Amino acid sequence: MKVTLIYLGIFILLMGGVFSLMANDQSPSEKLLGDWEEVSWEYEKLDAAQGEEEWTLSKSITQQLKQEISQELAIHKAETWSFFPDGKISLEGKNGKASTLSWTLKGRGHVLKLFGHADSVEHYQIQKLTDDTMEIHFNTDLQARGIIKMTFKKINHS
Amino acid sequence: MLSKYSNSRTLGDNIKLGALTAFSAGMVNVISVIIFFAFTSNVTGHYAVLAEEIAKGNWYQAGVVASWILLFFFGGFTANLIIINFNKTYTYLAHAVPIILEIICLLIVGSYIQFYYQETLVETEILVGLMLFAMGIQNGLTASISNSAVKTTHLTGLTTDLGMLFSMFTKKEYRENKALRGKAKIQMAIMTSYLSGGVAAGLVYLNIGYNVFYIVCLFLLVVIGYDFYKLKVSMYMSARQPFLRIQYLSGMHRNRKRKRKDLQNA
Repeated sequence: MKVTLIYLGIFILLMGGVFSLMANDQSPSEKLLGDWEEVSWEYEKLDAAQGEEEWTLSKSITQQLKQEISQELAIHKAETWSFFPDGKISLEGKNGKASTLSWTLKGRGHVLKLFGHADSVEHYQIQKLTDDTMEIHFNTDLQARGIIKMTFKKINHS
Repeated sequence: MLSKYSNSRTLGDNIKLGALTAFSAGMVNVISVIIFFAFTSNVTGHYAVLAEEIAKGNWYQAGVVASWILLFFFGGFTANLIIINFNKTYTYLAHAVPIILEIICLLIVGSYIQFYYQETLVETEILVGLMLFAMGIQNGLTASISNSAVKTTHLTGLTTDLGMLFSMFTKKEYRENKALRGKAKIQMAIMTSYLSGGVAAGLVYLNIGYNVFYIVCLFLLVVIGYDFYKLKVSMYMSARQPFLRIQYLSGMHRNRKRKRKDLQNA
């Protein structure tokens, strides 16, 4: 009887700990809601295969290269990403042209899945997600040959 | 495969148990990565992720990962609790019930994905948790009944053990040690099966999608079905033995009588 009570106590303590952790923070799918403006496109890591000098190069990506990398992607020319609670995302460019896709989060909320663009599914790694900043990584083998880091700042809370 | 406990188990029993369950664990792990982007049969990585999320101050994600680890823990706890409480009275059931529980968990996940899955984060978190619980049950069961010789989802320890074993086999005295050779055979069988299960799941998923879960359940049914068959056969044979013995003895008695009569007539 005493052992049962001890086990029950530990169980309640552990579950209480987990639930209080989750209750004191927003879920990533809630944090994402709202409008995000693109701040920068950078190389997170450069491919060092071409030599050591590569590392001394600037990590920022030019506008032309950015267009080339994102040519086949849903996020092509998108400057503002608006996440809606119904699972829709609006990607708006500088010229005001917008495309609507669907979004969902995978894993523990660290993988952003975008789908609905020409039957393709794209996955982006959410590296950092706070109330005001979002950092997304994705791999590309097109010229850039490295991990691309996109940084966003929140401009409008949903 | 299941009904023999700890020290009464043979090397063959452990290899069969390890290979079949590791194959299903490999399948479950790869499928969960493909569908949910989360591992479900190895917990070491989750500890690292938990530490990372705590360090970043992502308390929600830390809570999610902590609950996944706890569910794996409860899986092992449940499996062993059933075994230690019912092993003496209902040996077969004590070992079959955890596998049945695992099948139920995987069936729930498979059916839910097939009919209701909306790809929301909460669904993903719950389904991954259920799969981790199932894998905890399987690991707890195999480790418990094989005296920790078989751990089908613990590939870190297994690879370490294999490294150590192969270094020992450089010396003749260890190469000739039957126990060590047996251990290496089990570990190799588990490693190969786990990998094959993963590759098979990846390939099969391309053709049949979420139905992979039903195939895993089929494998687990083979595990309990095989054991049930073996148990029934052995029970049938032991029940038949006294009858056969009586028949044999009475036959011998009849032959002796006949021989005696023949001798008297002669």
